[in-house]
Amino acid sequence: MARWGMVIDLDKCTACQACTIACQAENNVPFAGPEQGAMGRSKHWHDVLAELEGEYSEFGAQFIPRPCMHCEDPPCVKVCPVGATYVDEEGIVRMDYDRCIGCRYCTTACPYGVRYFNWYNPQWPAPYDQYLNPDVPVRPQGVAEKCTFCVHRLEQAKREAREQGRELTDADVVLLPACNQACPASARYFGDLDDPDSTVSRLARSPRAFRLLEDLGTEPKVYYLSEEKA
Amino acid sequence: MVRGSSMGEGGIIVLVVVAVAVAVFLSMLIWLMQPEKKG
Amino acid sequence: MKHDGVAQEDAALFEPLIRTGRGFYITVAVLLAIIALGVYAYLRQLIYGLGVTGMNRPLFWGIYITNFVFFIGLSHAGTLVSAILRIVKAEWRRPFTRAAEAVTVFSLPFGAGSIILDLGRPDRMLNTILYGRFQSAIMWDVTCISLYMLSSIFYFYLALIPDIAVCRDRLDVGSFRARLYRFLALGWTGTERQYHRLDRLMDIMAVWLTMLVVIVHTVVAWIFGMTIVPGWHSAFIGPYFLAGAIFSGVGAVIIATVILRRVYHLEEYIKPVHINAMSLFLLSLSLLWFYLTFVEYFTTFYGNEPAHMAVFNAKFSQEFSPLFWAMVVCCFVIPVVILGNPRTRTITGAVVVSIFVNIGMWLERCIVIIPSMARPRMGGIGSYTPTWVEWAITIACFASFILLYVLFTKLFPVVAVWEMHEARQRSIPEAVERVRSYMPGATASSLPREE
Repeated sequence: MARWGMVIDLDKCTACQACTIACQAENNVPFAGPEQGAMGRSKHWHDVLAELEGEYSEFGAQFIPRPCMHCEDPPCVKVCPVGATYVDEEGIVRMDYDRCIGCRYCTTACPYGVRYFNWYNPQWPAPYDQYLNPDVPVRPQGVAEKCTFCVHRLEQAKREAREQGRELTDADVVLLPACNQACPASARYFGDLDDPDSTVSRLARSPRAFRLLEDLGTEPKVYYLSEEKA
Repeated sequence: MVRGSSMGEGGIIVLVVVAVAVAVFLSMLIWLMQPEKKG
Repeated sequence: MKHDGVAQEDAALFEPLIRTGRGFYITVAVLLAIIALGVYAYLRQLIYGLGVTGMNRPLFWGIYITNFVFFIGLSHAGTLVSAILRIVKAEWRRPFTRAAEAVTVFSLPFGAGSIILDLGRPDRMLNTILYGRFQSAIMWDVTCISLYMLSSIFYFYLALIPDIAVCRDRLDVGSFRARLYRFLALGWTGTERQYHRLDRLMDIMAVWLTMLVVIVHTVVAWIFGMTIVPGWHSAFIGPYFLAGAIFSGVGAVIIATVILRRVYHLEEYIKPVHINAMSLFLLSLSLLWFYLTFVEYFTTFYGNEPAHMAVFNAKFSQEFSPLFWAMVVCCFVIPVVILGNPRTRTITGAVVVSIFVNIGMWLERCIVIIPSMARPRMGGIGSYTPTWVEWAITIACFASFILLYVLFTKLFPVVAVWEMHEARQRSIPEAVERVRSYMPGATASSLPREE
């Protein structure tokens, strides 16, 4: 079985946010609008975090694209009373939107803040409703949601490989999630962390590699590469 | 991925605990109201 | 010990069941109006979604969860006063026990109910039974609170049976109520054996409920304590919540008892000596609360861990500091100042302090829950302002609790008549004998028997 993970090279990332936009479009993530956004109701399954360092005139900024970490020991899965969020056999932390009771325990428990909640029934004013992706469910009000590593694309890729009578290769998956595919700087990689020859495995072993909040023991599967942290 | 729809173990625990409690309380009431033997 | 004497001696306690003044109808009307507004607010929430509240990311939980913890805390009142004081044979508990147990029975549904009101998909509530995962602290809560609710209702009912029988036999009321009393009395005749068995059952239930109080509020605290959210993940949170619950609960019992005393003219039954005992109890709980609070925050402050200090500073000196210091004033300064001085430790003083204690403890729940979410680990600062929907629902919960309580006082005597009778007949000579047995020069009959 694969163990899916992601690597993001911060030394290549230009913080253009194409990844965030691509995810928004691919996964039918609804708009919040300026009013709701100001209230803290925006949903960004993928987001780019900005950490400003230093003071004028010695400013620095670190931009960190942040999907779901798909932790090996996810705090969100631990607290869900009904198993609406769960880890599948390949390490992807998934959502069952039909089972979620909207208690928001998972959104509260996630230390990375990657989880979102549908405060209202999502609206897509015309013509935005034209680009809804039929491969991804539209979530109703009252349920939680988050990045799925584009698992629907992964299932599609597996199906295609099966039809062609072959296994999934590293090349099939490196740019599989929408965020990876959209990156103009080729800064992002996806693949099987259990395959020692995959791109993500080799990069995750790099001396430049680190993960967020590593000392919490969540064992996130998103690795970042940065010369600074080496 | 389709997941099984078997009952979660948490739900069973709740039902068992509640059932046991109700049974205990009912038997307490029965014991309390037991008619006294005449004679 | 038949109940003939019971009814004659304590006729005043049955007055409210027979006579209903205008005040009652006005009170009920006002409460119903408040509840109606709350229902309307909730319907809007059901239809439009939780967006009608002030909750957001990262403040995913707000005053509904505060209310959940608060009402469960209130419910510990009855168990404490009735069960624990029974175990330690504190005779002064007798006028309070039923009023206290009623606080428990009527506040628990709003504790559990507040969680349901907070759910995004309450229509899927039964998923907790169908798909429940016991790794989640929410399931521990569902189990314990269900058990506690059943047990409290049963204990409340047990203690009511002899008085229901008196109502059945002596009261001249409408046929619906007469049938209700007959059904609920279960054929109680007040024989020696029945009273003896009732005593045994209540002893068992008192111990059981005391255990449950400890378990329930610890488990409620663990909803927070079992996450790794800074400010919540403390080994201490179980005992802290438990002590706080007992604290606010005793305050609630004082308020309920004093109101009942005034409205139903129970000055003969609820005397200054009783309120004084409860006041001293409340005062010691205030000191305990202060000690626990101090210990918690001082340890955090000294450790100086960044994630925890962000939360600490939010409470101590940033946007939550007005609430934080108001809490300290309400929960510590006011109780100590008013109840510490015998001259102000009057019935009025007790009620004033109890009201402040309950306000302070509601604030304390907010202070535990909200600032931790406003300072998430991954940077940023959250903020939260409850909307009218949340306030309306909160106030409606309180109004519903009061309404249930008011209706209860019309159906059953608020002071346990049979417990007063038992005190006069048995407890006084028993207490005398007990104290005598502690003294030197014990006679053969009072030495423990060796079998």
